[in-house]
Amino acid sequence: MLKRDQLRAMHSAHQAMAALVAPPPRMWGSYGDGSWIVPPARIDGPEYIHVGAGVVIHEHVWLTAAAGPGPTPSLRIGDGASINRFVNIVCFESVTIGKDVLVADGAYISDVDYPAGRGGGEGAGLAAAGLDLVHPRPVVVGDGVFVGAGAIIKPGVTIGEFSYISAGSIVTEDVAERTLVAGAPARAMRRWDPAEGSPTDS
Amino acid sequence: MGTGLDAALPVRRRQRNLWHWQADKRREWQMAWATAQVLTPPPASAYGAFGESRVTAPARIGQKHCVHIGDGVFIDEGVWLSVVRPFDDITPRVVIEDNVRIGRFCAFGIAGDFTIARGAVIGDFTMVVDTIHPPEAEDRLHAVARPQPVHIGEGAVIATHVVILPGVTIGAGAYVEHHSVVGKDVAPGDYVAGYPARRRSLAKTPA
Repeated sequence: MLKRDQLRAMHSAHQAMAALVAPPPRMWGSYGDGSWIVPPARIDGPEYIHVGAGVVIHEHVWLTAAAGPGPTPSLRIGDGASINRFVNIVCFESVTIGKDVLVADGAYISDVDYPAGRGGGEGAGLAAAGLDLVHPRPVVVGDGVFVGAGAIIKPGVTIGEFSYISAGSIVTEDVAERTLVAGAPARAMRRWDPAEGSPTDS
Repeated sequence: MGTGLDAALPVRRRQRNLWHWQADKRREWQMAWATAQVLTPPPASAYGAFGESRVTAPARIGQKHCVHIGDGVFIDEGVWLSVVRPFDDITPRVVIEDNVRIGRFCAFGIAGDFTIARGAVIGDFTMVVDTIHPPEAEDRLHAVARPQPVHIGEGAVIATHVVILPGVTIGAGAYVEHHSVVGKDVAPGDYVAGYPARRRSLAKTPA
C-alpha cells in the first residue's frame, strides 16, 4: 500500500471520528470527578449538560441540549449513573437523571415530541398528532431507576425512585416509586416495598 | 523492533520476527483503508443528485447513482442506505426531498422506488424495506421478493425503532409512534402506534 493511501485512510478516519469525540470537561456545565465518556459519542450543547461524579457514558450515546424559545435548558445526570450504548437524550428545557441510574442500550429520553435532536424536518406531523415541539415538558428519572433496553420515555414523565422500566416499554404517564412497568404504553405490573427487596427477588 | 529482547535472538529469527511485524502492520493498514472506504460518505458527485445536505460519517450508501438527495437533508451517523439491484428490469430509485432528517443507525433495504417527501423526520434505529426475503422461498437468504414502492409523506414524523414494510404509504403529516411495525398504509394526519400499527386515539397521548 502506498504511503499516500495510508495518509488518506488516516485522514478519512480522522474526519469521520472528529465529530464524535466528547468535548473536554471545561466546556461542560459541570463535570464530576471520575466520569468517563467513551468515544465515539455525540455531545451537543455541553454547556447545558451537568454530569455528576463517577458517571460512565458509553459509546454512541448522543446527548443533545439545545436552547429553545423557553428557559435555559439543563440536562442533569446524577452521580454514578451509567448511560449505555446508543442512548439518545434530548433536552430543550429540563431532563434530570438521578443518582445510580442505569439506562440500558438504545433507550430514548426526550422532553419534546420529536424523534431527533436537531436539523432537517419541519415536523408538520407533530401538529397533526396534537403533539408539541415548541413547549417542552420536563422529564425526571428518579434515583436508582433502571431503564431497560430500547425503552422510550415520553415528554413530561416523572419516574419515581428505584422503579424498573422494562425493555422496550413506552412510558407515557408518571411512574410511582418502586414500581415495575412494562408494555406499550407502559403499565404498572408490580410494586414492592424496600423491605421486600428488588422485583427480581420475587 | 531492535529491542534488547529481540537483539538476544539469532539473526534469522530476528529477520523472521521483523517480517511478521511488517506483515501485521500491512494488514492493519489495509483493514483501516477498507473500513474508511466503506464507511466514509461518498462525495456529492457520486449521487444521482445532491443538494446542500450533510451525510454524517460513518455511513454506508449503496448504488449512489440511484440516490437523489435535496437541500437541507441531514443524515446522521451509522445510517445504512442499502440500495441494491436484484432485478435487471427494475432500477432502484431513492428520492429524499428537502429538509428531511434521518436519525442515527437507520437501515433501509431498497430495491425499487422509495420516496421521502419534504420535511419528513425519521427517528433513530428505524428500518424501512421495500422488499423482503420471501418466507416461502427455498433459498431464503438470497431470494428477494419483487419490490413494492414505499412513500413517506410530506412532514410525516416516524419516531424511533419503527419498522416500515414493503408497499406502505405514510400520509402527509402522519405520526408513527415509537416501536411501531407498519404493514398497511397510514392516512394523512393519522396517529398510529403498536404492532401491528393501528390508528389510536389521541386522548391517550399526553399533550
